[in-house]
Amino acid sequence: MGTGPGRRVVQSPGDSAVSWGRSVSWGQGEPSEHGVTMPTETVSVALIDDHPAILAGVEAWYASSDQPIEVIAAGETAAAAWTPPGDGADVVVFDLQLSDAGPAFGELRQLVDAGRQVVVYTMRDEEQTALTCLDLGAATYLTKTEGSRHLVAATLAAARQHPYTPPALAGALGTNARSDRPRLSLREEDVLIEWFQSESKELVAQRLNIKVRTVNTYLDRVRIKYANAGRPARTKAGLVARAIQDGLVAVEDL
Amino acid sequence: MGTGAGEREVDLAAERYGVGVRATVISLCGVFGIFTVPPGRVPVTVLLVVVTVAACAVRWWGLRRLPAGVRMGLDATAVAVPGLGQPLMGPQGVNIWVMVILGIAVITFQYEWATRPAIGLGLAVLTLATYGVGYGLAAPAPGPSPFWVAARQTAECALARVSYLIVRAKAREADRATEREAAGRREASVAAARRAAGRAYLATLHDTASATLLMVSLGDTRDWSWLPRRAHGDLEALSAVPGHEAGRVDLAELLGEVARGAAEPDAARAVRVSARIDGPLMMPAGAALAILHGVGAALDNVARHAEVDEAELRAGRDASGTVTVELTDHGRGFIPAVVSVQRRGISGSVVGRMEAIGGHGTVDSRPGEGTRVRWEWPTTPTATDAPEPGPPRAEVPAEPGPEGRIAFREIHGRLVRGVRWALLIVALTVQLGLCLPQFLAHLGSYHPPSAPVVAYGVLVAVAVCTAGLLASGRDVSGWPRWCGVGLVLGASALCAVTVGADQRLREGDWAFGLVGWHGLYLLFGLSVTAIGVFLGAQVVLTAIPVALTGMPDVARLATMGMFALSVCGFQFTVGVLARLLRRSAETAGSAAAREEELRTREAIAEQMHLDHEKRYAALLRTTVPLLAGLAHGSLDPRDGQVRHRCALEAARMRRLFAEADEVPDRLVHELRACIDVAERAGVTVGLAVRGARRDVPRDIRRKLADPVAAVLAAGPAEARVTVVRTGSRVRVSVVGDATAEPDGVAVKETPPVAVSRTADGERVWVEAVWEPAPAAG
Repeated sequence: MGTGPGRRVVQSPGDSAVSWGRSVSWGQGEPSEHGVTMPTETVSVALIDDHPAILAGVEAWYASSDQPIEVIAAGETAAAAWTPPGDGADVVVFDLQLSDAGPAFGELRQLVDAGRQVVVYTMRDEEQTALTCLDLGAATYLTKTEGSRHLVAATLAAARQHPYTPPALAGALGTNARSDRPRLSLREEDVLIEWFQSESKELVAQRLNIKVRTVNTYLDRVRIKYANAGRPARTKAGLVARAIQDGLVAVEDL
Repeated sequence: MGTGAGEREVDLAAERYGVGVRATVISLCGVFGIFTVPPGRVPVTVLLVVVTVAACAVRWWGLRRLPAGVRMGLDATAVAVPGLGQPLMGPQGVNIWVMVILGIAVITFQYEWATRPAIGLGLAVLTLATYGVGYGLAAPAPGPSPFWVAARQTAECALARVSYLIVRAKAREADRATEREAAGRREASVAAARRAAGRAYLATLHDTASATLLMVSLGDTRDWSWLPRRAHGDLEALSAVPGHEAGRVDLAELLGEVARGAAEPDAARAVRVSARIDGPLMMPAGAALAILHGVGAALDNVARHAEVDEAELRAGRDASGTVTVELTDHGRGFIPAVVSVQRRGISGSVVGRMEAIGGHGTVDSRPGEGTRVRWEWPTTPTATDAPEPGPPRAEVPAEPGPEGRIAFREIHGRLVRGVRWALLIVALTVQLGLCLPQFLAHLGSYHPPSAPVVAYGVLVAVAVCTAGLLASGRDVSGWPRWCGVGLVLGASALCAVTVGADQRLREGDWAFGLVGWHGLYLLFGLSVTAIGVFLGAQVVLTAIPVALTGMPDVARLATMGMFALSVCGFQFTVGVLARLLRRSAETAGSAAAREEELRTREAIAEQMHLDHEKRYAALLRTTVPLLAGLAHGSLDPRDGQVRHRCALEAARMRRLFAEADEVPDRLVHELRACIDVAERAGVTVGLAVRGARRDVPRDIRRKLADPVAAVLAAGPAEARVTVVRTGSRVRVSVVGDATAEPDGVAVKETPPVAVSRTADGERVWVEAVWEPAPAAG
């Protein structure tokens, strides 16, 4: 595991709180997303997107969040996430298609290597791109069409190092045929695909005759398997460690 | 011109087999020869044989190591020593071992020196000359005249050369075909990269527009002040879309948006526009956008500098078909020749831009007399004003069928059959020409005399049956081949057992030389080893009765061995050549077949790419007016209907982004057709596809798409269609809002496609799953 240039220290659970910018990290024993309580600290976001509409929309969605989320920096290039005030943001929301030169995987990798929590947010719905982003260590992959329904939750999950799998990403994971993919159970594959198809956990739960909560558990377990199988990155280690702490997976499952 | 890989391979194989066969035959014949000379001549014969065998051995060892001069010297030694040494070995007529050695050498030299025919020919001449000289010096005993031997060997030498040239021609053809295929592959990969870049470029051009439309459709924003500028920018990006000819838009509609936008109470410019537009004015999107952009700039100019709040916009088409747009104000005016830097903006965006795209623009102004800006776009009044039928949707081209491959297999098969025919004719010629007199003359030598008749008949029957198979267009393989081989070897054994000991492996044993030729056409296409095993088996079958019926004397045995060697060596060489020919033909055939397949695939990919571009261009027809409306403020993003239009456009763009296939996918194609129909009825449909493309039979495709069509036809406001292909299943699903209750239409079970339906209060979700039998997957 390399030590990137980032000042951010995201390590195993139980680490003492590290604060930067306006954010406050989550203390020891903090209840999970699946728990009851919710932290009320403001989550700070750096938004990297070259389209004014996205900033306008994203701010509107964040405003509706129960837990306050604030866009502290926005810019057309990744520089906004590296320079104050964006360098202190808890979460980087990152448009992959910044230029005509194709997906900005290099920028993504640098951010991840610096220990940043990156939500890839893109216009293109492409499965191979999604898998690559995940492999590079992005917290999650979200298409812009999913933004209004998932960006808030994905941002909060990223800030808390919880897994979050939006439908487009679930579809890519469910049909992944790469040789290094983690082994999924049939039920996990079904949940992924049906979540991708229906974009509704209620419908998936009804179809499979399970609880919505169980649907979440399946999705999260798959995400953890991927995190565990992928390129070593601090963000991933944090994700896995948090999942073990939350009892989502047992160490022996991995 | 360089030598191709196939030709090099043929040359190397010819040399290797040539040297190998000659070295083997000469060495063994030399050993046998020692036993055929009078006892007093044995030491000198041994010496000659040792020198000859050594020359052959060094030659074999030095196949790739020795320079050509040395190899040539070794070859000359190997024939000159036994040829000129004939007098030393004593009188024995046409010395059989020398004759066998020289006979095989004359032939193999043509293969060993195939790339230097002069040397091969020279060595052959040397062989015949040394043989003649040696024969002359030795006291000839009565026997066949050496003239006939020389004549036969000259003919064999010529035939050997011709056979090599035939094989080489085929190898060259194979090389050319392989090269063409490789060139085709290179071109195809370049073209594929170009198409991918083209698709990426188109997607990039639409990226910002689709984000704009998506955000308008979601309607979550409160402050829309960014929208007009953004929409202008998006229009600029779209004006670079290639294939404008296909993407025609109605300029009248765009100008209408400008005029309406100016009339809005909160319009950005304080200029009222009185418009007189005679539409429709269908024209290429790029030109329309240039005019639209110019009109916007000119209106800005009026607002800023003309000191009036009114302008007049006229647009129409004159008799010659030229589209003319004119914006007039009665404001301050200016002298176009001495405009300030800021004002140069207007002439740039009007004159420069129009001229850049092949139109015409003029700015006419005089101080105090207002300004008139005029755009002209010449078009030929064809049927272009007719509204275009929906987006072009070419039929999915068929995948490269097996036709090409079948055609080449056919050509290749014909060649293989031709060679087999040739070998068959050789066998029949030998049987009916050379062997028939021997057969008739020596009937009495066999016990019983019926045995050779049966054997002769069997061999003829095998040849005739093979001819029958070939004539009916069938190949000789599988059980007919092995039956034939069994019968031929049986005939050989029958003759070997029944022939009189005095005629064994002599003239009367006509079957021995003949059976090998029958084996060659039967075994044609199998490996060289198979030919070797067959000839070996024949020798063994002949040898067993010899051993069982009491050994003849050594000299007789040696003569038999030499006879067998000369026959088998020659037949083996012919077999090797046939094999080389077949291999070259196969390479040529499959390379050409692959090339053809590649070309077909390429044509399909190109067709799909054009189709993809056309659909992007067709998108302009609906997207451009929408963005123009948003840019000029005539369309309000807060209006539900506007948002719906934006949602439709954004969904269409996203579906185009997702098209990245080089190979047509019929299932997705058919779903797109369903979606297009629904979209025209106002349904916003998202389409997402996951997993690798796979072939789905036509009736299964219909069963998978039917539920989607049913749900979409029920008219939801929004729907999401997905196609998921995993290793074991193809799953097509549609989610629509609950208004789209298909009432069981979609849940009809249509085996082998399983359809399931799940609904909650808001949505209905129908999925069709096909699980192909494992064999099909």
